[in-house]
Amino acid sequence: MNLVHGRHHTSALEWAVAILGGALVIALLGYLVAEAVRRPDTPPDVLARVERVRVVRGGYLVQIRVANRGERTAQGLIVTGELRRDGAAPATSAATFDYVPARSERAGGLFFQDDPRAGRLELRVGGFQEP
Amino acid sequence: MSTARVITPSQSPVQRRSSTRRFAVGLARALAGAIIFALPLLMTAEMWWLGFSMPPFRIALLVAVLLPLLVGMSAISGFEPTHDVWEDVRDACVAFAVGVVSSVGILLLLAVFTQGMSVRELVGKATLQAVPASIGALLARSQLGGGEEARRERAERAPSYWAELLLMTVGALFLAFNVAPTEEIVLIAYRLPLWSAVGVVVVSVIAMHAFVYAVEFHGQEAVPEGMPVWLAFLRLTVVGYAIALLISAYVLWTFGRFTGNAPLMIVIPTVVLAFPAAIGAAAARLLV
Repeated sequence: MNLVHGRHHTSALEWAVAILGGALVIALLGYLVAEAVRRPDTPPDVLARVERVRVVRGGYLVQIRVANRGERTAQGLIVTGELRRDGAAPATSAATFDYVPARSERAGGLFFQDDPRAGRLELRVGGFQEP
Repeated sequence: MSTARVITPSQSPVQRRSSTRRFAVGLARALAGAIIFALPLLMTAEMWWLGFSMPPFRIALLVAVLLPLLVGMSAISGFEPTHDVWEDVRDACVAFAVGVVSSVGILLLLAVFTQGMSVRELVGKATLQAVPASIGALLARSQLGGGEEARRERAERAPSYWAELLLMTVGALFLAFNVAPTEEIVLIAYRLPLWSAVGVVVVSVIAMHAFVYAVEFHGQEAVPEGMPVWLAFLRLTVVGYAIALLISAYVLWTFGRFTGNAPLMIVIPTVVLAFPAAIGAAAARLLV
């Protein structure tokens, strides 16, 4: 598919690159427009869950994961873990997530001195800010 | 540096002295370029943190991507026309070395490097900073110096299409690298309404086309004779923007900005970063 324009000559490889580049840009625009038309603008909808518990030098690390199902980003999201054990005062630990983007996940951790598996660990998702 | 010719036995002591002097001048120029190009990032806190938070593999990959680009740049914009690929490889290595040395020097001066840091952290920080620094070191020879003669000689050799694409890649990488470490890129992306993202794409492409063809800068390309406007637009502007997108995505991935993100939250930060990257790509063609 070689074309000659005056003195200029466009080789097959140049055409291939041009077509790939054009396809990428058109696909990008199509994707963004489709998302813009289709997506409802829902606020952050965040759940936190425990991934696993590890023994570390200072006690126990609870690795957590927060998932945002909303279409907006939560900024400065606070997740608190409260560990209740029979006959002991509840222990708390908190983590702040800078950003939990729309439909995305972030990982973090909470430290406790006692084994969370020996008690009842409750994760609570606190407030956030719209970026 | 390409100023350092291999000294053959036939050279007189005078020639040898002047060759050494030229090498020293070239090195000083490269150092100046490295510092000018790297200083903004050397003084960016996010870059220090990335030095230890980034997986070492991604830092190594970055160097593997950078070195061939430096070799290509040396071939296109070198201080004087180089004769074979090994000279370009040597120049690229010197530029990288100058980039590392100048970064380490300034990070030591500013006490960013302190006692108690692990070797991995020090290497990570220095290597990351060497990316803009080595691009600066190599560019310095085409911009800061080189003399009128070399400049004219280069102007006569119009770079090939592939050379232009390589220059655009380096320009996109440099500008993307400069803004990607800051939090503002993801902050802008996360608050950007989708229709604004569409607008950013359109404006990026228009701005790029204006930079490349429409505005009359020094070193400006005119649309080649007989080429239809749409083809000129497709060949350099659209392909250039596609390069800016790919480089932006690569840089954001390298800095770990995509971890855990949904596809849309990968696309939008890429679009945001591709705006400066596209300008960088277009400007690189005008500079060299």
